[in-house]
Amino acid sequence: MELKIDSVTKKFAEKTACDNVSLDLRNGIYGLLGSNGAGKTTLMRMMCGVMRPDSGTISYNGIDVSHEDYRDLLGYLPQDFGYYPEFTAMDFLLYISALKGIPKKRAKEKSEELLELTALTEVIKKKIKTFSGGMKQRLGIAQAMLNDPQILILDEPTAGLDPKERIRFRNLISGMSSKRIVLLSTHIVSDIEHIADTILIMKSGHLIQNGQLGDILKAIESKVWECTVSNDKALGFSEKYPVINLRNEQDGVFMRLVSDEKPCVNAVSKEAALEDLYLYYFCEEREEKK
Amino acid sequence: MNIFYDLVRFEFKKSVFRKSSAIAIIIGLIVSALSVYGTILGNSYDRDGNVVCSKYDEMVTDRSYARKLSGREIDADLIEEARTAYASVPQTDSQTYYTDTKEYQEKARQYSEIFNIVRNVTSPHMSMEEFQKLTPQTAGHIYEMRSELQSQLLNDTSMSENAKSFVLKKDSEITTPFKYDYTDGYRRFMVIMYSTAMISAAVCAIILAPVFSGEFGANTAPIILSTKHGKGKLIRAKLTVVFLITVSFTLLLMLINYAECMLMWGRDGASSPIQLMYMLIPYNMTYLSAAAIYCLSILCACIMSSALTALLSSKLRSSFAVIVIISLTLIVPMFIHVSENNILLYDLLQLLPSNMMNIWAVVSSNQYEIAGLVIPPYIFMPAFAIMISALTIPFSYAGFSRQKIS
Repeated sequence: MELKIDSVTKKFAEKTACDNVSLDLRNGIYGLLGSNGAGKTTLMRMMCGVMRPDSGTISYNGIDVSHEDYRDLLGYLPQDFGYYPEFTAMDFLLYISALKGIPKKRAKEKSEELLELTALTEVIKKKIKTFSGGMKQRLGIAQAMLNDPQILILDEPTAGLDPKERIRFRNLISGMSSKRIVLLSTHIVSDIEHIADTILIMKSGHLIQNGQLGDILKAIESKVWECTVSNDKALGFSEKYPVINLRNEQDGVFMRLVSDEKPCVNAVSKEAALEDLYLYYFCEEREEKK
Repeated sequence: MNIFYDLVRFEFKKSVFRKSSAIAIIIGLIVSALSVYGTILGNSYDRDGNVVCSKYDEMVTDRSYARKLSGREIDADLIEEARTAYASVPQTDSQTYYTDTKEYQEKARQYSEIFNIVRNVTSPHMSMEEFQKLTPQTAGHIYEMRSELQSQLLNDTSMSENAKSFVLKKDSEITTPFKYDYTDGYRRFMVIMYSTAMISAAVCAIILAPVFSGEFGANTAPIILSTKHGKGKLIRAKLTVVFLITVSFTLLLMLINYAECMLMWGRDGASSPIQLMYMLIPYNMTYLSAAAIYCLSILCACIMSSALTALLSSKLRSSFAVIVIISLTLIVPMFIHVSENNILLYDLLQLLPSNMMNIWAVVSSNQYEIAGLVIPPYIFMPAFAIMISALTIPFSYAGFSRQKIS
């Protein structure tokens, strides 16, 4: 059971959204991290067959992404999940079930099961336009799961959710991750940190990291520092280093930052976290854009 | 197959149970239903602006006159009778309509249809004064005059000799003399069907414009195109719904209008020759068969319009743009006039949906010729419409399934 992405490239006018990306995915949760415009959504769309790569191939157990049999194994929750406002939750799931080729009786059973799993049973007959953001996202994950997909692709599924909703969502995904490939993209580092088995980092269309959390954090091993400095120094450090955390305290400004060398005398080396790594990679990008 | 029917059901729900669709359907039904009565609402006025009677009463009177003459052959005797009645109408000055005179109302009015029939076979059309002086000899040759005028008009066209012979042959199949009948029910139906057809095409454009493009507006296209049937069965379901909605709504409007016309004006004249509507129609048809053929042409034109709507919807991402373009394709040709001398361009123009909905195009003496085969417009137009509609299917298919999500 392998999803093979082989040298996939996609360009839009002068911008290369995905540049020769190759990946082999097996069962488990993959967290895809990257800033806006890194190429995450483009890659996911190509994996779902809604966008054709300019070159390269995507296949699952030898079935090409363009084939109907591939889409039969796929569940997809896109960014900015769309819906039909006049449809009820049940209507929508039955419609998506029909699109996925699920017979009516089975579709009804599965829809009820998923609505219960996503805590939407009470609103089963209510129109989607009355739903909150969190409810819509939960409906989105429910529709993605209707056909018990072997490949589950979730593009920024926790965007706009409050912390409680995000935790519920994370637990839901964790519970679904066995016996399938789950690819989850997000800006929210803590979502991936808690549930992903493998972390993928994309930057400017390239896959720059691919591995387990412990392995990829080695890139910034001994490069995370905490210190308390004066206001003037804090201003200088903010311009010079990627700052993860900054907090005014009585005796100065507390800073957590990433630096190849010790930034000041009283700086203390700390264990790296995924957020530190994210900032390390994408702070440079922000500077380039300036 | 069950999955397909489920998809059709959902697509139907998506198309029809939308606010814009509901409003368009309701307005279309009301406008179409009320427009039938346009000619009998209000009053009839004389030249001085005085109310003569209500238009409804006028219709009832004309109907009673016409029914008195029904069943009589339009021959020399009937024409002479009409001429005699018209002869009693005094000459009027430019300030007075002859139709406002007492003599006309009491004697000539009941023969007004006979006068119209006779003036159809003269070119230029006979005036009332000329009709008053019509000789019995001329009245007895009315059908020969018709044939001569038919031949003359055909010779003036740019059609091939083959086509002209075809028309004359068709014309020779018509049995004369005609029997007069009251036919206003069918006549009104065929006149009103043009606006009904345009209403149907416009309403269908509003309902169906989002059939593909709406998925991008609602942002559901990424989910749909990633599903098993999103690029195959779903598209077939959408196109099926396009066809079903168009046929259902068009037939509904037709039936409503037909019922209204038959109830208000009467069902008389179904088996009467269509030549009572216009003498120079060269086809051996009754009012009923002409109405049926005309309705078929309208139905096919509406299907073609909807097929083009679906094609545009699959290519464009904006339902509004689709509605604008289809509206322009329906309205603009109405204002383009091409001489019949430029036969190719003229015939092509008649193949646009809005022109195909015109009764005079459907029963026109202008024939279509393909590889020496002469085809009357009432056959060619519907066949062309269906062919074009079928041709759009693969393009609509490809247009949606290959849409790039950006």
